[in-house]
Amino acid sequence: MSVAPVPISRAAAAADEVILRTDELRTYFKAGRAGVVRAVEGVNFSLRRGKVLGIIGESGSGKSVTARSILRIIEPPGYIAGGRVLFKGEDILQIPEKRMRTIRGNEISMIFQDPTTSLNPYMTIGGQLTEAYNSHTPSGSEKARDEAVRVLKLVGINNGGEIMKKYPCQFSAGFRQRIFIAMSMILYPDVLIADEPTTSLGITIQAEIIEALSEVQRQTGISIIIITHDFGVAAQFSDDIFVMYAGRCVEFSPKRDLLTRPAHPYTIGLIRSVPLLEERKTRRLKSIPGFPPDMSALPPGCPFAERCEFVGEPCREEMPELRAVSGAHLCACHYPQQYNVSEDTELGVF
Amino acid sequence: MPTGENSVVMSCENISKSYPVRKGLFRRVAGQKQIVRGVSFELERGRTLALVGESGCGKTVLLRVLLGIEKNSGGRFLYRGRNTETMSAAEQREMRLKVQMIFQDTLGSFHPRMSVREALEEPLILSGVKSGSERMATIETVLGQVGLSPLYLTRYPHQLSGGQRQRAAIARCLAVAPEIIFADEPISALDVSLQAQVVNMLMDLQDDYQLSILLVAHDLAVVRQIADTIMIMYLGAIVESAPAREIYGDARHPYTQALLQAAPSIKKGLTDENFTVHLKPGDLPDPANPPSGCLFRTRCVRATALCAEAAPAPREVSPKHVVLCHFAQE
Repeated sequence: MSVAPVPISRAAAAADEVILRTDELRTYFKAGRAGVVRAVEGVNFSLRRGKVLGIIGESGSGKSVTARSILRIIEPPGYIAGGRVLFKGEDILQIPEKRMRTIRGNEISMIFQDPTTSLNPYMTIGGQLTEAYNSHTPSGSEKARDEAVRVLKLVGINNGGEIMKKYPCQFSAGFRQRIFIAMSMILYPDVLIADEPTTSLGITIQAEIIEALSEVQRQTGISIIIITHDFGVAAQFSDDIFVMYAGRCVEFSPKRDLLTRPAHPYTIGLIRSVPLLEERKTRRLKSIPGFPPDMSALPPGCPFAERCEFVGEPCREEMPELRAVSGAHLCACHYPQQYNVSEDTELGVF
Repeated sequence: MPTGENSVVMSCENISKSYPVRKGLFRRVAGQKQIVRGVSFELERGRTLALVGESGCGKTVLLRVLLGIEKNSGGRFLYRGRNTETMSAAEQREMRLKVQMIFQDTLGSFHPRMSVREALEEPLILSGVKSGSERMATIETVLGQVGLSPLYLTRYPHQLSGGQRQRAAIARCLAVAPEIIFADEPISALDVSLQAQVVNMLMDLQDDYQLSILLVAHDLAVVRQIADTIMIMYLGAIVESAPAREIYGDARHPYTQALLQAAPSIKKGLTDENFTVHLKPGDLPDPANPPSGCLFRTRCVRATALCAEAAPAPREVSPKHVVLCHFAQE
C-alpha cells in the first residue's frame, strides 16, 4: 500500500484545537567520550484541548524523557538537542527559564510514578497544597486553604480540612497519589502530564486513580497526557494514542483507529502479544521476536527493522517518516500494514 | 492429563501465619497480626495454580512459608503426600531441589559477582553432580530450553537485559529438573514485548516436562493465559477459588468481581467502558485488627448486617468452585 505523505501540521489541523504540539523534538544524553544516546529522536504528536493522549512505550523508549523535555526538566548529561514544543502556539523551548517557571505547575503540571516520594514527608498535606498555590498566585493562607479543600474534593476527598492537618506517611500509596493529583490541579493548569501514575499500585487502586483523573478531566476540561506501558490503560482512558519505540514515533492516531486497524508492525505485534482479559482463541501468545535495541548503538534506519517480519530494503537504511495512512491516523513505516483486529483469528475477542 | 490422588504433587491444609504485635517498654506480646488465614490448596502435576491478590494481601508471606523461609503458625504442608515437618533431612533436601523458585526481581536473584555459568552450575554442584563435563552438558541443555545463547555464559547478571536475566533465572531452576516451580510475579518487571516470550516459554516447558507451577500474580490478563485454577486472596484468606474459566465467566465473590471490573483491557477501551471500582472507598484493614464477621465487609458494596455478625463459611457453588461469601449463591 502506498500512501502520499501528508505534512503533520495539515493532518493535525483537521482535528480539534491543538493545545500542545511537539515538532521533531530531540533529546540526547551524553554518554562517555563523544558518545550520545538519542533517547528521543524526532518526536511529533499533538494534544487536543480537553482530550486525553496516551503515550505507550516500553522502558527506555523515551516516553518519560519526552514528558520531561516538554517541561524542560531534563538534567545533565541530558539536553534538548532540537525541535519545538508548541504550547498554545508558542515554542516553549525558546522562552527564558524565568517565564518557563511560571508555566510549570501553573499551566502545565506533572504527576510522577512513585507517590511515596513525590510528597514532602516533613510537611503536612495542607502545607504542601497551599505552598503550591501561593508559589504562583500569592494570595494569603485563607484563600489557599479554601482552594486546597476544593481541589481535594475534585479528586474525591471530601474531608479535606482534616486531611490537610496530616502528614503523607499517614496515608496509603493510592491515597497519596490522589493528594498529588489534587496538588497538581490546584492552579487549574491547562495540561496535566501523568507519567505512569498507577504503575506501582494495585489493580483496584489503579482504577480508583484513573477514575479520579477522569472526574477531574470531566469537571475542569483539562487536557491530559498519560504515559503508560499498559495497552489496556491507554485504551480505556485515552482519546488519542501515541506509540513510541526506541525514542521514535511509531504510530499516532485517534484511539479507535489505532486499536482496530493498527498499521505499524510494532503496534500490531504489541496488540497480538499482550495477554488479554478476555479469552483468546489460541493458548500461546503471538510474541514479538528479539529484544528492544541498545539505545547507545542504534543501527541506521528503522529501529524496529531487526524484529520486524515485514522488513524490506529501505528499512535498514532510512528512518521512515510519520505519514498519514488515513485521516488523522499517522504511521512511521515504509510498509504500513492493512490489519484488522476483528479479523484476527488468533485473538477472536474483538 | 492424569487425575486422582496421585496427580497431586503438593498440598496445603489450613496454612496460617501470624506475627506477634509487641507493645510497651518490655515488648510484651499485645496481639497477633494474622497475615495468612487458613489457606488450603492442591497443586496437580503439570498444572498451573495462580494466586491473585493486591499488594499487602499476604501472597508473598504465603510463598515464604511454603518455601520454608518462615515457619507457619498452623496447618500442614504436604509434598507428595508426606508432611514436610516430619520429613527426614534427606527427604527435605530432595524436596528443596524439586521445588524451585523464580523471583520478580531478576537482578536481585543473581549473585552480582557470579557469571551466568557459575550461577547455573551452583545448583548442579549442590545437587551432587560431580563431573564437570556433565554439568556443562546440562547447562547447555537448559540454555537451549530457554532460548539463551551460550555466548551469555561468561557474562555477569548486570550485563544482561531484564528479559535475558529472567530466562537465565528460569534456566537455573530447570538445571536441577524440578517438579514444582513457584513463580512470584515472573513477568511483571519485563517489557511488554518480552512478556509474551516468557509466558509462552513457561507454557512450553510445562507441557514438555509436566511441571507444576504456583504462579503469584496481580495481573488477571496474564493469569488467564497461563492458569488452570485461580485463587483470589484478600487479607490473608482465599475468598474465591475456581477453575480459571469460571473465575472469568462466573465470578461469585464481590472482590473477584471488583478486580475483574477494575482490570484494564483493550476490549473495554473499544466499547468505551470507563474505569470503575465496585468497592467501598477505603484501605485494606489492618491485619492486627480485622473487621468482625466477613473480612471483606468494610469494602464490600453488598455487605449487610449479617456480614458484620458472622464470618461466611466456604461454600462450593459448583465443583471445585469455592466462595467465601454469604451471598455466593445469588
